[in-house]
Amino acid sequence: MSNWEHQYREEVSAFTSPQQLDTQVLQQAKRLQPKKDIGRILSRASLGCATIAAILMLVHPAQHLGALTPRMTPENESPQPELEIARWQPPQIESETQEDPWQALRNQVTAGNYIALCQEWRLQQRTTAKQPLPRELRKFAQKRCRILH
Amino acid sequence: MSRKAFQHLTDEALLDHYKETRKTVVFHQLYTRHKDALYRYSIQMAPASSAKILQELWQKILENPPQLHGRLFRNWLFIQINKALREQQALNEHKSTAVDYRKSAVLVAIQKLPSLQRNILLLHMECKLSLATVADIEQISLKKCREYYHRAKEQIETLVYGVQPKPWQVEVIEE
Repeated sequence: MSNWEHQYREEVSAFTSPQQLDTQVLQQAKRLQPKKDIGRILSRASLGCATIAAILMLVHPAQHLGALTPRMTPENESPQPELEIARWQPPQIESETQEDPWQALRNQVTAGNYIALCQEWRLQQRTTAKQPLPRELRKFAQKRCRILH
Repeated sequence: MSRKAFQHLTDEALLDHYKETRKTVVFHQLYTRHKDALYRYSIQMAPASSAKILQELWQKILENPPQLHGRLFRNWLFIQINKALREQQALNEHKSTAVDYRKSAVLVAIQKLPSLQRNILLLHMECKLSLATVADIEQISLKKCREYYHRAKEQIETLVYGVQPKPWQVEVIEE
């Protein structure tokens, strides 16, 4: 930088924008500054409240309880469902009366007649019977009857 | 938000921010950055009407912040002030100056330069625009612009320090 350029910088530094001009321009800027928009603030606040309300509604347990309740329609509407449930009883199972095929033989053994028992036992000893003697009759037979070869 | 908070922002970012918010504090930062350079330039180009031109320029920016389209705000600012000064010069040419330059030989020398050279010199030296931008503003070639700039500097030197004695040159006499 030459000497005159240095000199120029020094001398010109005194030239600054006049105070009056600065004031006028900045006043104009203030005039053009938008006023605080209350509507926008309110809008933001209401949006915030609505968001919170929506979150609360979604999170609230009543929302989930309500979801399980069936909708009442004339078709499936029942006036007293609880009473019906209380009255319900399981269907009764019919008892099957089974006849004891060894009853006659038992009666004879009880009466002290062992002939029929022994015959049946001997028969079963020879062949494989479909219905083997009941346990108590077999014991009686083992005590009382002889095996004839 | 204080003015310090905007100090790190570029002019272009500040302008964008001002466009969105229209906050005085943002504009103030932008204004403070350029007001003195603009004033120094305009007062040396059109002393009588510089304040009026500057006020109009800032009003234009305030009312309708410019679309820069990738340009620097500083360049845009000096292009606009240059246009306004040209229009003003065309309207009232040769008006008396409002600034007293008598104390400064350099400032007087600058005033004595032709308008084109003075403009090129001030835009490059004072406004810190590149010579390419100055050439665009003046709508001349870069080579020509550089030539005018150096010629202006030489003229100022001559006006401030007088004609420098040139060293003796020995001419070769052809026999």
